[in-house]
Amino acid sequence: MAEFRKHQILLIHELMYQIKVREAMTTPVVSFSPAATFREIQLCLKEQRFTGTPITESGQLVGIVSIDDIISAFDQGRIDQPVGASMVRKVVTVPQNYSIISASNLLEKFRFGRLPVVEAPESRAVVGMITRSDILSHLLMAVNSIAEGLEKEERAAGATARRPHETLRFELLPDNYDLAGVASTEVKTHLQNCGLSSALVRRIAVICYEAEMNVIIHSLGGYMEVQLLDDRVRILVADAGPGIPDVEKAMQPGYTTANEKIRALGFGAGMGLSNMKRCADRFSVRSSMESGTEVDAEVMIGEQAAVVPGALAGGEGGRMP
Amino acid sequence: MTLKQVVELTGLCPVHLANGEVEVAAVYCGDLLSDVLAHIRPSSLWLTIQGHQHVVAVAQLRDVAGIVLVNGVAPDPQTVTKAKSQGVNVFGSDETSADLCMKLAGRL
Repeated sequence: MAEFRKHQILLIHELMYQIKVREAMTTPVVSFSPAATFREIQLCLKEQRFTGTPITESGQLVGIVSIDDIISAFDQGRIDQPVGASMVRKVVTVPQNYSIISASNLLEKFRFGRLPVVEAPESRAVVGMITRSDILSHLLMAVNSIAEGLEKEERAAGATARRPHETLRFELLPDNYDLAGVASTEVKTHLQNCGLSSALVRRIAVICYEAEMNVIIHSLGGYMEVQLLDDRVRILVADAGPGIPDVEKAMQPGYTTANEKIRALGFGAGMGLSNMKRCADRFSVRSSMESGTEVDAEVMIGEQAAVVPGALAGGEGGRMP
Repeated sequence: MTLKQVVELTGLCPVHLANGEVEVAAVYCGDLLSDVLAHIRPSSLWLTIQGHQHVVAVAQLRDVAGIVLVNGVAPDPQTVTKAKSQGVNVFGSDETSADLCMKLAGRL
């Protein structure tokens, strides 16, 4: 927490040095000549909701009049007299190219509500006015735009290279046809939200669906894990058996052990494993009659992805085995 | 052609219409799910005799524009439920896949 607060304070402090007075000041300057009366100025300040105004002669600063001065003039019966005679002539100013920290320090030091901003040090040409609230609102805006920028960056980073390493895991129950496809659908939605291209997502979806259905139809149950890595998506599917007696044979398109009921639903066409292999950049099946079957597939999603157009029907970014 | 235009042209009967404005770019006829997974192109209209719920997942995974249950096949109740929850367009037709394809030939 202390560390967090330190960062916050450092940021504000840094901004106080970075932001120039000219960025935060109010323009255009409303000014009066020394011939204006306190009453005229009072009416203007009231209307504009200012608390003070510079007095200029041919653009050069010659004095300043604040609400306090107007109250004193009213008290002393000078309200209809020109300000030139009694205004404060020694005016503290701040050059426009100074940081707002300088303006803030001056406001604090002299307990002023506002400072005329001059063109350059030693100059008497007024280019704006700055108050505490100008400084504060500009700081808030700066912090806000930094926060928005960070958010944007994070979103962009999430959609491209620096994806968080994530693993989605699904338990798959045998013969549970009602939930068949739910895991694959969830994977698809998740990868789409991560910003992967539709063609890549469809390839991964086919691998997941075929694997998911295999576990549900043929096995005693298992799980599917989808790992989202920097440059690839890895799909690991394992079941508890009974195992594939001849993996090589099972890989042949058209070879099936599915029963009549399953085939009537359009499953068990003997294309599952070859479909998966075709959609994957790396694919392996290991099976033992003791421990069950493990499918390990990878689809490259980064710059290293071997993109061969037309690997899948419809010209998807894919690879032919 | 949009899905809505395809429906008008071929007289499909909506089972669940989620979005009629999607573009239909091709047609695919298939009843073996793995075959469809392998060969159907995105934005296709899929003509099939499989009325069970698994067609919805396959269509969703392959970005299919819509499923048409041909030959008067009725959808299972779960098919309708899943189509609604996943926003997949499903239609029915009394015609055969071949007849529907001929109506659409050269029109997409």
